[in-house]
Amino acid sequence: MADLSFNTVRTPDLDGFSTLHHADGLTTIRLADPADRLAIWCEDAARNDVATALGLALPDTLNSGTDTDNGCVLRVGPEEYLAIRRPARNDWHLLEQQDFGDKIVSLTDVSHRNIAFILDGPNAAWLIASGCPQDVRDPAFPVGKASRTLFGKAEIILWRTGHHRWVIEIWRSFAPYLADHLTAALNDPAIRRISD
Amino acid sequence: MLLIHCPVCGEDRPETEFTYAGEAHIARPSNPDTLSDADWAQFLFYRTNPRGIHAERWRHTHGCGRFFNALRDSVSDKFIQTYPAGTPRPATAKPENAQ
Repeated sequence: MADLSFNTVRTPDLDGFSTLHHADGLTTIRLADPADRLAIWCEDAARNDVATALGLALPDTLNSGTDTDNGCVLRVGPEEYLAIRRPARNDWHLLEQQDFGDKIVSLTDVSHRNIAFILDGPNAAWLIASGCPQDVRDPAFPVGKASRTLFGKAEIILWRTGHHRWVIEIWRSFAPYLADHLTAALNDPAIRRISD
Repeated sequence: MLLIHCPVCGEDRPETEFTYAGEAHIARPSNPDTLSDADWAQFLFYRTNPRGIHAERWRHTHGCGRFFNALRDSVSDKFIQTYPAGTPRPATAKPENAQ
């Protein structure tokens, strides 16, 4: 069997991306800290086994996320989840070999694949609306909702963790595109609006 | 923007999240060996292409990732109803532009 004891750490090429500030003085865009990420595919019958193996509860409803001190799990499809844990411990690849018997489970360490941007502040939803076609207002996108969707041409997972706080999970290779898009939105006078 | 109701997510989502996947309810022949070339071609290539209500497959590619079926009016492009894959075609409502 292949040696899985190594772990590849890659950093996105963002030309020294540092926290961006909106002209309102309140809204910021920053890179989230490195995290462990696990792509999970499991049938409903295996949910409890996976939750036990992870030590994290899986969300009951589609398009929602659980957020605990130990980590987060987003349910992006009927049988598809993304688990995120900070700080990174670089050991989730060991779960890939776990035996779940007859149950259909696939666990894949994708820690190196994704990075996350955190948008915080009253204009965060407007910045997201500049590139995401979903309705990001209440009640269509309540706090706690997480959904795979698009931002411009890049696929993202959008997660609302607070009234004015959003997380965008994106593939590492798409990150410069998203950063440029958000920077352009940040400097767009039309988006300088304070939402309530 | 065209909104499509995903029966899996239970939400109206923007069209760009979806991918069209051809006509619905086309069963693959269980034993292709017994088919004549003409019948096989019929399965592979020939579609109804109706003027009016069309049952078609869609996939919520940039969302839940699931296939589902939809009834759409090919004249007005309006979605009449979406329903889960594997369920029979619902009783057809009249097209919106029907006289």
